[in-house]
Amino acid sequence: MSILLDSTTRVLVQGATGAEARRLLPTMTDYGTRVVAGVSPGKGGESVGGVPVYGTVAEALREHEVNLSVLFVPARFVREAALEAIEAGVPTVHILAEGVPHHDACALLTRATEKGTFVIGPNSQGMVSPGRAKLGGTGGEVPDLMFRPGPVGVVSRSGGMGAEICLFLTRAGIGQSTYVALGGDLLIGSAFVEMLALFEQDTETRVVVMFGEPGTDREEEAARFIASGGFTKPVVAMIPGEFWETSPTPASVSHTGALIERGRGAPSGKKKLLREAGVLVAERFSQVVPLVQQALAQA
Amino acid sequence: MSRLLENDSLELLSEGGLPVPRFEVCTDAEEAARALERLGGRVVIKALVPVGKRGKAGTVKFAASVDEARAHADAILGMEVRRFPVKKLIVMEALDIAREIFCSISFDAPRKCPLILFSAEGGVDVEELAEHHPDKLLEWPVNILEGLKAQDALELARRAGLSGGLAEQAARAVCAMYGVFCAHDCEMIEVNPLAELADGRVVAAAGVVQLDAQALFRHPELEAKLGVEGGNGWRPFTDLEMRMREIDAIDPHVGAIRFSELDGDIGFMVTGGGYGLSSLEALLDEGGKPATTFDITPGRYEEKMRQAVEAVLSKPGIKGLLLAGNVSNFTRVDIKVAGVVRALKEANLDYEKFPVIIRYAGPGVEEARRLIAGVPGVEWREDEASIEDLAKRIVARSYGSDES
Repeated sequence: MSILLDSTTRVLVQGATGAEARRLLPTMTDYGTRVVAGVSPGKGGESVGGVPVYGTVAEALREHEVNLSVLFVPARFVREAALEAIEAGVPTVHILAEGVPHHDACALLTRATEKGTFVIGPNSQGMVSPGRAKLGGTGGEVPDLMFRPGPVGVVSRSGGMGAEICLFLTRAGIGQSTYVALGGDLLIGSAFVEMLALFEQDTETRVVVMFGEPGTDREEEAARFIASGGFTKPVVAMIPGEFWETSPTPASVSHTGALIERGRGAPSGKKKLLREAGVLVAERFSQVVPLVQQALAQA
Repeated sequence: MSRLLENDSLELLSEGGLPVPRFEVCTDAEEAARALERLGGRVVIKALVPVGKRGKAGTVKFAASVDEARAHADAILGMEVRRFPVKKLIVMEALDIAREIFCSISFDAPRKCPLILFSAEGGVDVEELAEHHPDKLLEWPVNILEGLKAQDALELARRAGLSGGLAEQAARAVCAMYGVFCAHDCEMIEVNPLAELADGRVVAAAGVVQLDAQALFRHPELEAKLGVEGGNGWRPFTDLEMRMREIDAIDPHVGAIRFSELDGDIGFMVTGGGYGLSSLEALLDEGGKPATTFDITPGRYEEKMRQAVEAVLSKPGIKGLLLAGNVSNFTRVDIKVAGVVRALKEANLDYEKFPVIIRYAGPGVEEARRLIAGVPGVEWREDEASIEDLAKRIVARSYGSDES
């Protein structure tokens, strides 16, 4: 099994006729992703890689059942496209674009909460259920180099580090159930807690790896969720950036969410709470795979 | 980096309907003296710098005569505020303040909404207020789709302890701030103090507006005001950082560069937000002293990479160079490597002695390997190399503890 995405998930692609979608859509369908329709305003009637394209989400939904919409829409058009999918009643909306304005993200996430829509992103690099389906750029044209099916769920605020962790797990012979890049922005839809709740229900997942970052309180929420019994399987976590807390010179990172404000969101505090919740915290990258092996032996 | 200077911040607030004091921007003592005359003979002279804590730095002074204005202006213009030399002053009419209120608006990540912080006891740092008197700091989340309603703002002001006409004026001020927050895609607005004057008026006696860098495409007029004065957020740009901005500007559409110069001696050009941060931590753990941080967004950026590597190699005292990135999905790594190789060949160093370690993985790795083979001595690594392998190796080779 997997979470959110498998080979039966009926996927809608918004921004289907854009360059990014034309490039990535074939890699998704080749891998097994069931893309049922595309949407591009004013391009209804066209097709991309054999997938029919509609002018609006509502038109696509009249012809197809859809479980999830993935947005290949440029940042400046994300608000409108996401709201269209939310209003049309798509259950899960996955936003890939980097650089979505905060006010736009805030508006679409507010509406999603009101409508009960599950949102991943913005600024998610993608999602992979190895051997079944994938969304977005993650895994490239040869996903098997980085991913293989197995018992470890991987959730990361950083797309690059999520891919790197999966690469080293795969090299060690450890497969993944589902990998989700949450997105590095300040305002994102679902985070660790939502993913842990789904992984808890997934019988295939035996261990979860979470990669966090400085800033926000996503990791603190996860620690409280685990401590309260919401997630009962072993968790391995890595959160870099503790050096930053005592450094007079803030290093520049590209994630707008990675800001420590008024002492909130400091990695040391996140790691402390996670440890107290029984999470295996990797202080270094090389500890991640051994800790996962240790956790699998216990699980 | 996307923080407006105080004069621009106050202008935005004023346009949004929040009264602000009269002020002028000056660059020398004589201008400050003339400003005092025009502003009614009693002024506050403040450093116009892109950071806070100006009062603590001694760069906020009251003047009641042209001589005082000249003397204070001269003194402040020679000072620094948290690494920023004072080159401009803001001269503001002195206010007869009866009460100081604090108000800020920013985004709350957990609740995914705009959050107003309000205190009837302003004037002090919000950090201090939050730490010592959290009960006096009111948090007020706003539904961004509904906006801030006038009656809610009034309720907020009353719950914070204000009453009567003051509560009404403060509520109007908060609504004006919220309007500015939305109209200009702000990330944060802070007015501290929001001042009740002796004559009963409520004005923004000081203001900070921070824009959302991801929304500047909608506000070219504000982007133009940001300029380079804000530096990298904590100090002015160095010459090397200015050079990197020029390199970034050769193509604004491809490969946005993010760069900081640090005090160390290892050229650190490890890309990817999470990967770069993890690698920097590993380098510090190993005792490495980074001379730079560097990130570039994916694209056809061969020329930018060539010039960026050339610029980093030009930094005096540099002992080694680490170039790395997390495993790439689609972006061909050989494009990046082609630029790196050109820079290394042009620099023509002895790479047996000056260590250069390069790690990339993903599409184009075979071509990258072939290109690297053309520069003897450069150490090439692929997907088997972990973050710590690279950190250990560059530290050992740069600091001479490894003779192999």
